[in-house]
Amino acid sequence: MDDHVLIRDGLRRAFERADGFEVIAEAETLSDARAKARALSPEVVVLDVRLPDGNGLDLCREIRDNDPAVGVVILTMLGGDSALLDSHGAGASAYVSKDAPARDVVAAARRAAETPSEFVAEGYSDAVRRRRADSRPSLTAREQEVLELLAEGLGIAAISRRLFISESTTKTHVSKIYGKLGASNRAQVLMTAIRLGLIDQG
Amino acid sequence: MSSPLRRFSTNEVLLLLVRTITLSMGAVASFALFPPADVVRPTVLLVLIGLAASIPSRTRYDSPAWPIVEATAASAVINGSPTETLLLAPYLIAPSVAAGLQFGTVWTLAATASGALTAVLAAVVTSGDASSADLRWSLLALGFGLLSSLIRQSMTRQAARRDEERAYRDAGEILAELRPLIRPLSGGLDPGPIGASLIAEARRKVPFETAVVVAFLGSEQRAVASLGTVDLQSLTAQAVHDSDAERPTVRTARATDGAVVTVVPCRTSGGRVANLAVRTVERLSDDDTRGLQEVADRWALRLDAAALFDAVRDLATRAERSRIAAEIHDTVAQDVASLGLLVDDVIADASPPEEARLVRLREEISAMVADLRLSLHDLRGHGLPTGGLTAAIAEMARREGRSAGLTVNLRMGDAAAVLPPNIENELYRIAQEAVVNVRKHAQATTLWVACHVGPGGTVISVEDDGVGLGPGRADSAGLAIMAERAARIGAAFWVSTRRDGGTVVEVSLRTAGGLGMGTADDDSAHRGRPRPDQGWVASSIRAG
Repeated sequence: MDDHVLIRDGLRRAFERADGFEVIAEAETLSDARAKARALSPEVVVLDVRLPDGNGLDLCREIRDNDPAVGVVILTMLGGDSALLDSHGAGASAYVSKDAPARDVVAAARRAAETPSEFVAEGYSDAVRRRRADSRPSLTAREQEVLELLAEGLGIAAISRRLFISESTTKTHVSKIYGKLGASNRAQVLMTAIRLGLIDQG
Repeated sequence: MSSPLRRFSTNEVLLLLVRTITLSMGAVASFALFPPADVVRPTVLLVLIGLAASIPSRTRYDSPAWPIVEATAASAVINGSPTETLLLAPYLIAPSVAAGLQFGTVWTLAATASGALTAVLAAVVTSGDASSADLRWSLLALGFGLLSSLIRQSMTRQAARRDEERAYRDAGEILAELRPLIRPLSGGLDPGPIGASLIAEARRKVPFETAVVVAFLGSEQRAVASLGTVDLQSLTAQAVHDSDAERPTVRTARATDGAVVTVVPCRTSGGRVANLAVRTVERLSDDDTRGLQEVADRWALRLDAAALFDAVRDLATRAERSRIAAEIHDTVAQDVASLGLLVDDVIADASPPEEARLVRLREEISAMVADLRLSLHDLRGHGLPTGGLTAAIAEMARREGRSAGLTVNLRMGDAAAVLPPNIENELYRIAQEAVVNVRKHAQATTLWVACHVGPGGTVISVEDDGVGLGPGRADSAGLAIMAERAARIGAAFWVSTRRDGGTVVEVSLRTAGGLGMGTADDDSAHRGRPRPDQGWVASSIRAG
């Protein structure tokens, strides 16, 4: 599935040419893909990440939770280690960047169908090595949530309501985030977080 | 000293009103119909309960148990006495309304139920018959309580909406206030000129030849201004190192050549916002140190404001870059990628001589998409992978060299100097362009890449033993782009011919003290309007 029709066309032709593949469905949106994946139970799904109606990795996670035997190939334009590592985290079978030729996508899909639980990606070990060497402060899942709401411009009260926690708990989270990022006000927190890639813009 | 009492909130005033009305209704009716002697005691008790429930305290209203206690007590008083007091029953509405307004539906039910239960128990105790309990007022209380909890729900929703709107309104007001504020500031809101002015003023108090101002922004330390060059590198290191926010005090150290380094914190009420480090021959007297501290503190607020403003500006820039990245991602990048898939399709049907050319084309398209992906990554502000500029360049050179069958020689030096991400990105892209040019156009066998990042500056050179710069070589556009990138960050850029053939591309960013933007060589630093893009303009720095 891909929201770009020319990419889908190209992939379909490549798969039709390859032995042993049959393209049973194409989808342009995440919701469409979700419905078709459920109805048709494909052996392999090729998924884009950045989509108009959401994140392809969410669908990847759903597919993986429903059926561990489906191969999922993440095909994306996104660069950087986090996209790759997140794909692994979402249970994908392979990660291929969109600069790769079609035969790489087909090869990845073939392998994903055979061993869906095994993650294969070019540059994976490098990415893991870099992530290990990464000295960025690590936030807990809750702190990350609070940070993202701070970035949306919400106040303490609004964040508390959104997360169903008390204001004093929110304040504790916020002060911990300030501490971890070495900031003393909201602007500094956001700056540091963006620079470290802790919050994504867009 | 915090008092256990606080002022009444709207809710509490409302509840006080409900209690007064219900109680006086019951009391008036009771006193009118029955002998006062029978009614006085329960009425007084209810007044006491009502008062206890109405006094605003800091702790009580945090607990939904209070309306339950109130309901139970009131119901016990009303139902535990002779039948006359039943006229006081309207008061039972109050605790249910209190629970509804403050804690929601569940607690309304709980408070009303405990009142009703007490009524039943009282009936059993006084008459031995549970069915004699009068629950009409409890039912009415339930109705009022549920109504209150509905009101509470809608108020909460409105408050949430107001909160979100307020965040925007606040931001708008702050920005509107900033505009007239910035205009009269003599040093503008650029940390560079402000730091330079600080150094200039400090120098009038204490004579020194070398100084640096390092500002703290979040977890980032950045030298914003410097004076002189002698041992500036270690001076900067000292100023960066001394960052204890808890104890912002003056610290001195001896340099290797015996000179004295004094690090003075620039303090605001929020703590240390910057450091001024100066290098002097002799240890400073206490008077001099005090003088420096006074100057540093005077400029601290301006530096802090400037650093914050810098951050806001940066935030805006990043938002814009992020938007552009999304645009490219959704359009051009996908189009080029699909073009690649189209070529893949053609390759499958091509005859062998055509195929070789198409494969070349496909490789070019792949490289283009890879480049676009890297640009998108840059635009999203994630910077280079951790490991720094030298590691990234080394990896890139190895990868490119290997794919073209070149012998790659690397010479890398990294003196732990941290460059701002945008500078790193530009330098990396220049190096990448140069290396890719070697692979594509130079017909070389060997590639030399050297990269040295040090506090005094950064030098990157890319050399090859290929055909050299012939007329009309296809990478002249690439050269122009490299030069443009270099100019953008104030770096020097040369292309020359190697002595024994081949090409040398060199880019050099000199940053006095490893870091720096403003100069404190004279007092004119803050006179001119600072250039809007003055980030890291090396050309504005004079050495020595």
